[in-house]
This record gives sequence, C-alpha cells and structure tokens, in this order.
Amino acid sequence: MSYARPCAVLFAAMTLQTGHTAEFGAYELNTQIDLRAVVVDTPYESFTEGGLGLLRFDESHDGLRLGRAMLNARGPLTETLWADLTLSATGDHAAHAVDLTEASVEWRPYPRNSLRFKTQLGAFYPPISLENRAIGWQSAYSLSPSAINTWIGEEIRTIGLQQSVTLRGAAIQQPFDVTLTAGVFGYNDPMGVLIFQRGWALHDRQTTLFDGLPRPFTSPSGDTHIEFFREIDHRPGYYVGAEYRYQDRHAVRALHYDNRGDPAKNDGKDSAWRSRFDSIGWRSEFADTTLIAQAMLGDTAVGASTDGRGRFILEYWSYFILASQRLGAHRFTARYDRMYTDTERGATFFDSDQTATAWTAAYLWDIDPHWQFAVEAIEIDGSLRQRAALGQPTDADERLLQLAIRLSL
Amino acid sequence: MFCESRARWHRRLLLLLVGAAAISAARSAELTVEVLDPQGQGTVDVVIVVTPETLPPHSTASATIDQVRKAFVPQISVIRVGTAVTFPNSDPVAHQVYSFSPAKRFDLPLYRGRPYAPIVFDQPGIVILGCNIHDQMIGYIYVTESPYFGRTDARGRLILRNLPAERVRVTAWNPYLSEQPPEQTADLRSDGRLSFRLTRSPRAPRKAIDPRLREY
Repeated sequence: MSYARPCAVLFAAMTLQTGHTAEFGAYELNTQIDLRAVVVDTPYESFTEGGLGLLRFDESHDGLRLGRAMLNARGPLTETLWADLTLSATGDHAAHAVDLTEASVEWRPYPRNSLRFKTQLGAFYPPISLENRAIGWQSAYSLSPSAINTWIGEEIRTIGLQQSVTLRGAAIQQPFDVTLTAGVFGYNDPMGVLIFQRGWALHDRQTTLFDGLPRPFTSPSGDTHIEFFREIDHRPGYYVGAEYRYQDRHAVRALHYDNRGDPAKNDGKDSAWRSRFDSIGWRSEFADTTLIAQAMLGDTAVGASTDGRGRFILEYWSYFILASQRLGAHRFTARYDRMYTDTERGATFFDSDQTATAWTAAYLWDIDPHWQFAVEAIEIDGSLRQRAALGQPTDADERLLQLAIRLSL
Repeated sequence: MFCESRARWHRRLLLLLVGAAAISAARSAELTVEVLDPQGQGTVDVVIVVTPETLPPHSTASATIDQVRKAFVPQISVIRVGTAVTFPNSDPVAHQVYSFSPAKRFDLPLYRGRPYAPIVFDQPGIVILGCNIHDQMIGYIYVTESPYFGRTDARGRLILRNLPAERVRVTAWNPYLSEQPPEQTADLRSDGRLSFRLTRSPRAPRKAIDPRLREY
C-alpha cells in the first residue's frame, strides 16, 4: 500500500522518541495516524493528480486512503526557547515519504509586566486561521478546513521571523487580550500560482516544506511541478496582524499579508508571484456551540509588464461561515464556503475565473483519548472557466464522502 | 495564712476562668456572608476577609495550588501573609509558574511532578499567577493580613466561625467583578449576617483550555 512506508517511518520515529520522553520530561510528543475510506463523485481529476478537481481525492481514489500520518514534537531547548516540529506523510505522490510541514523555535521570555512578547523563527503558519487549532494545524471542527485555510495550508508558510506582543488582560484584571503581530519572510515567491491556475479548493492536505504539487498547466519553461517554498526575487515579504480576544471565548483576527514578490523575476524554473491579501476572521465559543466566520480578499500577479504590476493579475476572495455543536464526545459541524477568482489582466491569454459555493457537513466522535471517528461530506457547486482550456466542462458538482479513523498517541 | 493564700488562689482561679470565658466568648462570634448579584443570585468564589482591630500573631501556615489539565486548582486562593504555598504539577506536561505582581514576584523554572520548595507570600496584595508555556493558565492568590477568610460557595454564601466578637471590617474580592464592592463594617457582638449586593453581574470566568488545542 502506498502509505505503508511513511507509516512505518513515523511509527519508528515515534517509538524512538518515546524512549527519549522519559529522559527529557518536558518534551511533548503527539503522533496521529488518520486512515480514510473515501467515495468521490466528480468528472474531474484531483489537483493532487495534476487535474482541475477541487477535492483532494477523485474517483480513481475511491477506497482506503491515508489521510495523514503526523508527528509533532515540542520541547524546550533552554528555559525560554522552545522548538516545535511537525512531520507529515500524505501517502500520495509526494516526493518525500515523510516531510516537514512546520519547524520553528520560539523564544518566550517570562513576562515582567502585562505585556507578553514572543519571537518565532523558522517555518510555521502565520496567525490567520481560527479553525486550524488542533495539533499539526488541523481543523478542530471538521476534516477539511474552509477554502481560505485550505489555501493557506497549500501555498503559505512563514519561512522567517515573527514577533508578537500581547497585552494580557488577566494581568490587569480585564477580560480581554490584544495581540499585535508582525512577520518578515522569504522563500514564498511561487505563492499564488495554484490559486491562479486551479482556484480555491477544499481539503486537508498541507504542503510540506520540501515538496509541492503537480502544476495543472505547464509553465512556459516546461515545468510540471510547483514548489511553493522557494526564493526567486530576493525580496522579503511581510505581514502585520492584530487579534482581540474577549474572555478567551470570542476572538477577532485581522491580517494584512504581502509577499512583495517581483512579478518580473523568473529563475528559469518559476516566476515570482506578487501575492497580497487581507483576512479578517471571527470566532465565538458559547457553552458547546462554536461559530466561525472568515473572509479574505486579495490579488496575485505574475509576468513582466510596463507598469510593473504584472502581465497577469488575478483577484480572489472567499468567505465562510461555520457552526459547530458539541454534544459530549460528539461534534457536529456545518460550513458554507463561497469562492471567487477573476482575471483582471491577461484574461485573453489565460482566463482564470471561479465562482463556486460549497457545503461541508462533518461529524467527529472522540471515542476515547486516543481514537477518533469522523465522517465528512463536501459538495462543491460552481464553475471554473479555465477547465475549458483543457476541453473539460467548466461547471459541475463535486461530491466527497469520507470516513476517517484517527489514532493519536 | 494558709486560708488567706487559699482565698487568693481561688480569686486568681476565678479571674482566670472569667478571663478564659471572656476570651472564648470573644472567639465565639460567627458571621454569615452572602454575595448577591443584581438579580439576587449568589456569586461563587468571592474571597471574603474579616479584619478585626487587633490581629492575632502570625502562625506558620501552608497551602497548595495544583496544576491540573492546564489550569491552576484552585484558580482563586486566599491565604494569610506568611503562608508557604507549594505548587505541584499533576499534569503530564511541564509548566513554568511565574508572577510579576508587586506583592510577590517569582519564577518556577520548567518542571513536572515534584514541586519546588514552597514559596512564602510575605506581603499582602493580589498575586496573579501565570504559566510561561500556557498563556491561558491564570490563577489568583489574595494575600491578607487577617487569618479570618474564606470563599463563597455555589450559593454565594460563606459562614466564618470562631471570629473575635468585636467590630470588624469585611471585604469581598473576586477577579471577575467589574467593580469590587465597597468594604463594610460589622459589630460581631450583635451582627451575625452581612450581605454584599453587587451593582453589576460578575463576568463569566475565561474559557477553560481544551488541552488538545494549540495557539496557531
């Protein structure tokens, strides 16, 4: 089976690490094996196979699949310096059976007043998602995150430095916390190519640091594989964000992100894409009910142009609303996603245009602290105009039903 | 001679008994304190401190604040000045307990299981506890000069016994009250009940940490 090897490697690593746990008591180790049974109804080949299907699996994948094998290790290097590392295996066409999705060190000095400073260096997710809060950046509410956070998992990683400062309300006996974050990063220049070629998608496959995805449309240089985490133009990107939390029940998060790519630069394999967006999200947690909404608006550009803005410019936006109800060990989630892309410039050469909606229904059952059972149904309805360039119907419904059994240790 | 000294001895014994009775009478006062929100519902976990004019001398006391499922247990404690507090960690993960509150600043570097030597809280005030690894872990210690204190139960009530039967000041404190109620006075020779009426409902405590979730 295609996932036998990564599983074996991860379990071997886990066994090895468990031996260390006793020695270094402060280390936290979490491993998870997620096995799926999937049934798909779509006329398209999945983007994981190089197609223009928006789901992780297509009809050729019907049957048993590996969802993810994951190992997260976290522990102190010194009293205030923490290392965090996540290894993943997806069991598909990945170049490496096991690869990193995140690897960083974080400096957490002891607070000396109501301000809390944190500095993170390495490869990690910027603070955008309000769904992906389970270990390994997994959604806590469904198997597949929203279109927005699916895209973050595909194309975005901070490979750089992040500094945050939090005014901790607890220290001044107030019910709120306010955090300001800024990040500087490199090695994310191809970011934008996938949303340009394929549009938004819905799945839980996170791109690993040393791998990529098949390119739905071959590049002018003949390249058929996207590697997302590369530096092409030697210009660092940045983001600034803010978060307001009330009683740890309600959170609002905003982020402005700009990779400052130079769309005129190309290193022979790929171009630098200028990608920027604004994201705003809100989450409220009542006793057993969680509501989340998030919206993102941005653009990406590539290719030399006289005005420097790029030969192709794609505008994209998406939003979702999610409601989740916990009943003891059972969780029920419903989510509505709206996805939109539009080629503002260069449409006569390549017309990337997506208008789609999606419904996701998920049921998660924590059988015990180690075993989780999950069922998820996704229906995506809409059009993707660039499918016509491959002689495929532009409009079709795509449906996925997946059952997961997850063992966490 | 013998009779005289015997009479004196009797007088002394009588005085001693009267004195003891007076002291025991002085210590026998009881006070029931009630904290009610604007809707008349009892407010839980409000620290109540009864302070008499003269405080008895300090005695060595100890207390324990545990860490369970990434939370301080109890979350709100009240102790007397001079109390030695032990901070065991019952979690499988390590914690780093700290306080930067003026009443007591300390750090307990990374540890699991066996606690450090107890920390002696030698000044009155409110000490806010944190964990440098888990930012959502918050605990409160109210350190007071008086040995007469407690916390209200789920019905918002607290009964304090063995109080000195004299004029006392009574304070109420809870971190979730947007306005701390004003201090009251009571004469425990006549008053046996006292109630604090909050002008605003207390805030709900912060949401408890789900140990399976991380900050991303």
